[in-house]
Amino acid sequence: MNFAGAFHLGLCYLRRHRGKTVLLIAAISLSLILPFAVAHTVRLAEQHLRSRADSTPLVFGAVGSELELVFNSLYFTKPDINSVTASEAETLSAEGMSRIIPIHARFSARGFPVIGTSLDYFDFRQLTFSSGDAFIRLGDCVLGAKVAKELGLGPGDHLITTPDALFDMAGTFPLKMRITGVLAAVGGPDDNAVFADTRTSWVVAGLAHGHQDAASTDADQKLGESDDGSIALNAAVVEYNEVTPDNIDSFHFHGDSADFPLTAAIVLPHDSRAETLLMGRFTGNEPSAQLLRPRSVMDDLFDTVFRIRDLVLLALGAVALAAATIAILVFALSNRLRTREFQNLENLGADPSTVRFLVSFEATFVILSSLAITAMVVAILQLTSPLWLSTFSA
Amino acid sequence: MRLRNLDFHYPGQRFGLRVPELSTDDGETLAIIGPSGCGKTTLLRLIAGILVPSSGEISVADQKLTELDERQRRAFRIANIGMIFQDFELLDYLSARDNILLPYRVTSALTLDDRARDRCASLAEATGVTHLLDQRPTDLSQGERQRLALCRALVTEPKLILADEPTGNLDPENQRRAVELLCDTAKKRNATLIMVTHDPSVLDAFDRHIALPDLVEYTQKGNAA
Repeated sequence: MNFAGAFHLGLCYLRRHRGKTVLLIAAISLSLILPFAVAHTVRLAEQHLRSRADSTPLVFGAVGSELELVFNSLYFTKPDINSVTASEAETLSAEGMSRIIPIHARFSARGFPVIGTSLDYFDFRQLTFSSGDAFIRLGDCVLGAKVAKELGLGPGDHLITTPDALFDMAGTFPLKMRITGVLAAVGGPDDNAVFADTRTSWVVAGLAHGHQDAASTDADQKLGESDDGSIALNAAVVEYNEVTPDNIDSFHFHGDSADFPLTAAIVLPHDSRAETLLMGRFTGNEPSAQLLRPRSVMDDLFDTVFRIRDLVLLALGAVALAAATIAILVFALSNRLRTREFQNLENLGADPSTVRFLVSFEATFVILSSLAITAMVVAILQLTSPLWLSTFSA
Repeated sequence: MRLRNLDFHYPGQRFGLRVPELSTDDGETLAIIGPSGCGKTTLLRLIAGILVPSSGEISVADQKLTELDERQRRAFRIANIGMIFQDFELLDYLSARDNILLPYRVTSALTLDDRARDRCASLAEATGVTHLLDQRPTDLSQGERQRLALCRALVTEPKLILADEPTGNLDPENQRRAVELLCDTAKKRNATLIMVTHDPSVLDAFDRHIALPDLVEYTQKGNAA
């Protein structure tokens, strides 16, 4: 066979019919890539979500959707879930069976969730600092790697929280937080969050505030003074929206901090016995709060996801079968239209192997090209998975 | 070219034809005329070695085709016999140049070298299609396509050119021009030309013409006609 000559003829034919060729390659490639992409994406999402859930033994929170509680405490989404009080969370560690890490994931700053927590959180998630250090005092915050990168902020800069409702005078007010550190990137929700002390998040919530010293305010700002010495001030008094060394002493909480809210608490039992005992506390008929194993919640979630994935894969398989059938039909029709061409080549004296090569070249080229494109896209998907997974997880 | 005592039947068919004798000289132009369905194309395909007779002898350029196997006949045909088909059968996905050089692309019996390319250029110049070499057949007129087909038939420097009603779809004036071009080019290259046609108006351009019914005997299996 004259391979070079036959190859030249085959390529000329495909070039002449490039529209059809490109369409066939695209259809076959897509029908091969889509099932892989769906399965790969689900697998990655599962790995990503499970790894965080697996590393979190128990999550405590208000009664309600288990999934929303897990997503709030682990991925900092669903900020509108019901709250538990700080004292309710503390009871879990009171008997020395566990350690708790508070989570108050209700507010945001410039589109990123502000997480009120304790310094234990950084140890628990094994988070390290790429610059600066942890928050030290009220009003300080630490940025996740992606937040710092996207906002172009670093230690020494400030970040203002986003008010709940701009025109709601009774709502929360923005707090200008001092940035003390930036976390090293870990490829997860921690990269996309702003961390502050729980008490700072309560300031954001309006449960604590700082203002001018009541005793030194102008007389016209005083509404009255009670017998116990407390002074009532009017709305003209200056309220601080930033915690500074000069005004930090003026910040105070109204009410009992034990009653202040948390959206969740990560519970770290000391051993499996403690875990079992703690779980037992929340198996009553009408518990006021819930204690969950995030892994179990994720198992339930992925049972559903996998069922949907299987259906999608089945549908994509049917589409791929249809595409393959159409491709075979196109090849068959194409060869049928070229019957006379092949016959004439044989009459000229062409080698039968050359004619056979030409007959199969179009189908072979299209199939091999589709497989090559599929392999390339699959490789790119796999290589870039960490990148787009971190984007996805944001 | 020489045929002697040729017998042929299409497989599964009763009727066939017998050619007692037919020969041509080098550089001779021969027209074989006959009505549609009388066996003109069959005779050409026998001479080309595409069809194999049940008996008899076919010699082209002193080579007995009947003694060759299929692979050898194919190699001999593409190197020594130029074919021109009724509708020229140019490939629309190739340029005019690639169409002329097509025999070199489809067999390992020929090598596409500079000499072949030079022959292609020289034939294109001789037939006035040099300026069309990069165009596709679909962009050419019927006359230009016919000249390309002639170039393709001659590019391997064949001893014998077989033309199967190449003027069938042309108007009378273009038929005359096409036949003259065929005969002139064949003579200049000292190639024997055998053309089959059903149109008597083109016969004057040939050295010799034969009516097919005078040349062959029609046979029925088991009986001589």
